[in-house]
Amino acid sequence: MNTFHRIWDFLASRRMAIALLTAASIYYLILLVFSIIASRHNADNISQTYPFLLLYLLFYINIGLCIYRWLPTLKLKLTTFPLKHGSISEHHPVFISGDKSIIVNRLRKRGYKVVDDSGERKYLVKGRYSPIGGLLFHLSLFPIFIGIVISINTRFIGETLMVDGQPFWGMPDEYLWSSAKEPDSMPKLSLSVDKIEADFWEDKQLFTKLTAIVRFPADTLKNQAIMKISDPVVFGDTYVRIAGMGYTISFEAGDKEGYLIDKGIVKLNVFAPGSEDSFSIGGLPHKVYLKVYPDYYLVDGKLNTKTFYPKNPAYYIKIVRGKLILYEGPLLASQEVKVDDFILRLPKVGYWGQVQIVRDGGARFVFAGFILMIAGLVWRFVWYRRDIMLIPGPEGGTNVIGFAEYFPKGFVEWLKKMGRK
Amino acid sequence: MKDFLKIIIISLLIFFGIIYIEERETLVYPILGQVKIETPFDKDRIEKVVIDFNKTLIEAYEKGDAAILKGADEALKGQIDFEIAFLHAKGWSFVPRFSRLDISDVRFEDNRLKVITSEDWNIRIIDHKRQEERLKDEIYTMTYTLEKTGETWVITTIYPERGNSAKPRANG
Repeated sequence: MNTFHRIWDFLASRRMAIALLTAASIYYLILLVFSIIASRHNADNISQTYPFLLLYLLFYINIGLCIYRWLPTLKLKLTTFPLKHGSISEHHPVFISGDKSIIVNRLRKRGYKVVDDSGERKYLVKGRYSPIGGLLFHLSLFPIFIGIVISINTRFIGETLMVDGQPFWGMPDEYLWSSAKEPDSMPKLSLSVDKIEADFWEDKQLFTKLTAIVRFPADTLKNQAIMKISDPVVFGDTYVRIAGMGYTISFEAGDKEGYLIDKGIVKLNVFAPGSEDSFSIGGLPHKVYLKVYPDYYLVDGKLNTKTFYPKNPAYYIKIVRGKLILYEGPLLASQEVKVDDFILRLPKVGYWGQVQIVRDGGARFVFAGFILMIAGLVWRFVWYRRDIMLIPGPEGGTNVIGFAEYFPKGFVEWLKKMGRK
Repeated sequence: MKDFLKIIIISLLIFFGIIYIEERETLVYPILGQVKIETPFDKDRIEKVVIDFNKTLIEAYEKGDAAILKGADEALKGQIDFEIAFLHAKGWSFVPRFSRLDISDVRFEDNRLKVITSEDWNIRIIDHKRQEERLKDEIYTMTYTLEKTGETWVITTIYPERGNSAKPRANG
């Protein structure tokens, strides 16, 4: 045997498959340890290093070659009756009193097919094609691989913040951040948020409900859907889901004569209550830092909140111009504060939704691969092959010999039970 | 069995070898604790950036020109320029002086520096329209955020922690 054949044999061997799976298990255990003691980013980096790439490559070469070498055996299995001629007679025969034809009819009703009716012996088989399930299981790894390659190269993920009534046109500047290097590679979609709703568990920072009612496309608003944390709205190969929420603050700034300088709704990172964020007022150099208490009450003169629902909001605000703090203190939604000849009001608190947009062209392949894998496993292990040979026995009875790929003892018991009927 | 063990040993050696080559500075050294990550900033230089910024800030208010600010990024210069224009439009002058500026802490967080200072300021505010003048003494705990652009650190935001306040009033 020359070196080429030795390498070929090794690459296409079960020994290689076991070695690769063992190495992969050790690698991933080490990676798990790294991801715990170091950062996930470092673990991600390591998972893309050459040993891992080499491992994946060898793994697929091994599967491909094993399948190639296994095909003639598979063909033989599908066309050989009984499957194990030698071992089938090793089973203790079950004697059934009665004619062969009665037993054949019984077995036919249970899905057995007669494959050889020549001579005195009869062969019946069930689950003849179940070895194809094994082939499907192994082949399913290829669409998974294709899906992963497509995902790594084309996957898009981006996030945007949306408020009630706000349209989203999928333009690059509408994203808070995205993985796209080119604007053309961003998903083409548009939608508008009708309403964001949140429920909390016992007024703790745990959602029992976080949904957004959306309409799409944004120009016609023809269709409606509800997106949830675990249930995205699907646009072709793009999934859009709500991933988090925060508070929006409505503000109005006017001059001392009462004329409006600026008004609007700002999305701030002030959830959970007590977190501070800031916004600027158009036309003024001031910056407003604030903490929000959406359902406030006072404890020793200090603001606190009963719930996370914006029913009765109050704020702790700080208005700064340059280095000068012009105002610092509490402000209710019903109040206003005057600084530097302008008046600021914060009448309303609402929700913004953190909307995650993911386009994954490989996900379908991965999904199809797993479906194929499950189908293959079920076919192989539920509808496994069972062979039955009927031989004429004494006194007009029939000796029944059976072979099952799995659970042979149970199969013999089943044969006995069948014979008693 | 021997072949199998050989494969495992060789693949582990390859694995650790490549981790060492590719990730030794970010992962291996810190985990082993053999090499201390180098401090990414020079504290004296950072102090100088903050002090120079405040000195030129006084000058910027006096001359009405934010372009002379040192150590600030363009966005911060723009904000201060906007503030100077606002004061000018109101007919106000703003003459600040600091009598004390102590750096109490410098922290490196997420590739940014947070410089905490304790500052005493005396600010003269002149309202030219009303012919009024008032003095304000402020004691601040300031937080400066610095980001590195090229080889230099520049101030991107300033955040005062303490100050005086007006009182809110009922709406309407």
